[in-house]
Amino acid sequence: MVRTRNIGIGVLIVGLAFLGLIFAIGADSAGLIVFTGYSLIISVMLMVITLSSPLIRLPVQVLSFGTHRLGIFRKLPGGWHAEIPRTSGVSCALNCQACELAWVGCPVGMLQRFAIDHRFPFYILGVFLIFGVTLGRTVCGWLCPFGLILDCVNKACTHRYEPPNWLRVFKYVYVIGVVVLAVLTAFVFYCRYFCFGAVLGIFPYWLTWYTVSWMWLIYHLGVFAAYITLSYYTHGRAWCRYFCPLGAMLALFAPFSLIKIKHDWKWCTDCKECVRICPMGVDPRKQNLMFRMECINCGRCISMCKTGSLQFSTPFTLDTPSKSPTPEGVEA
Amino acid sequence: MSEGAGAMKAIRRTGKRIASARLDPFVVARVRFVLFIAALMCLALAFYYADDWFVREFATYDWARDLGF
Repeated sequence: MVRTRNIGIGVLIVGLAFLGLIFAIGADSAGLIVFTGYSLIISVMLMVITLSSPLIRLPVQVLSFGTHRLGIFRKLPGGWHAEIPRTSGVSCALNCQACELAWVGCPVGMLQRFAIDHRFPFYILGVFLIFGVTLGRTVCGWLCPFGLILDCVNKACTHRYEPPNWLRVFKYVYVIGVVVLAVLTAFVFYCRYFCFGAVLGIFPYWLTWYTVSWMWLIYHLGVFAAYITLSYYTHGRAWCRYFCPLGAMLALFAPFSLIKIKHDWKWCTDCKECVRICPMGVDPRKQNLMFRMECINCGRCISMCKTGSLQFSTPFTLDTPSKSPTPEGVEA
Repeated sequence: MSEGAGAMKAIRRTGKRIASARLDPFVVARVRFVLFIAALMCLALAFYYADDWFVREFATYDWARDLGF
């Protein structure tokens, strides 16, 4: 009951963001639409996580995946959808916009486009900052379309090998490489050759236009297969841990985000189930900078914890345990 | 050789120290506020002053052709 104290404020903020979006659409202002749209996504996500249960995450991921593919309406018969833009803004999730069904763009692809044009990416930096300081890497765990795919892949993974933690630094090198290679080669080098998500874009494109060469199809299938093989032996979220440039950008701001998983040693029995279950391979009990940067707030540790020593913390919750500690979970 | 090994050891130690650091909640709140203002300024600059490439071209851009597919 204590957790619901600030829900009224949350509902008010969501309502205001929704009304703002309606006003912005009426005013036909691109800047206002984008700003109020982001405000609505962020406030709804804060509310969802405040009221969260482990059952909510999968529907949210599926809904997000579907929203990123709203371009499917362009494929319906008739001319009524001719005015639907190819992409209507940039979402803060890895999402191949070469896909014929894409409706929103990928910030990593756009970052490269800005670099190629030698323009400062105010828009992309704004997107990273606003999502980073509010949701942080919750985006990876709840909203990213590829996160959903990787969670499905994880069901079949063996988890035989645990790469060393220092390999996580690779994703920061990767994000620098993405920009540098785009500038040097003057094309979107990363998307064309390295992004395993391109396979999601290339197949619908091929099915629609039949113009994709077999070489590209086979190449991107190979890239996809390489990442899946790596995941098979390590973890389904290996991409998010070691390679994702978007995850790297969000990780820089995640320690300052509004959503956190908090741990209370008072109830902890040190069973380490939370460490074992964590898809990002971090220790929620430590609450250190590495945990803050890597945690995708999926909440699996919270659902696994029998004593309630782990809980989500958002602006609408209080810092008290969400569940009463169970007597059998606490050592005498 | 020993210099290289020493440097690697120092890098590893620094990395561990950074990874295990804990942030002061007061500092976190302040940095968050600054970053949030920066985010709003970036979006405002993108849409109202810088005339970003996105605003002009993005809605009709054929990304797959840019990839060379």
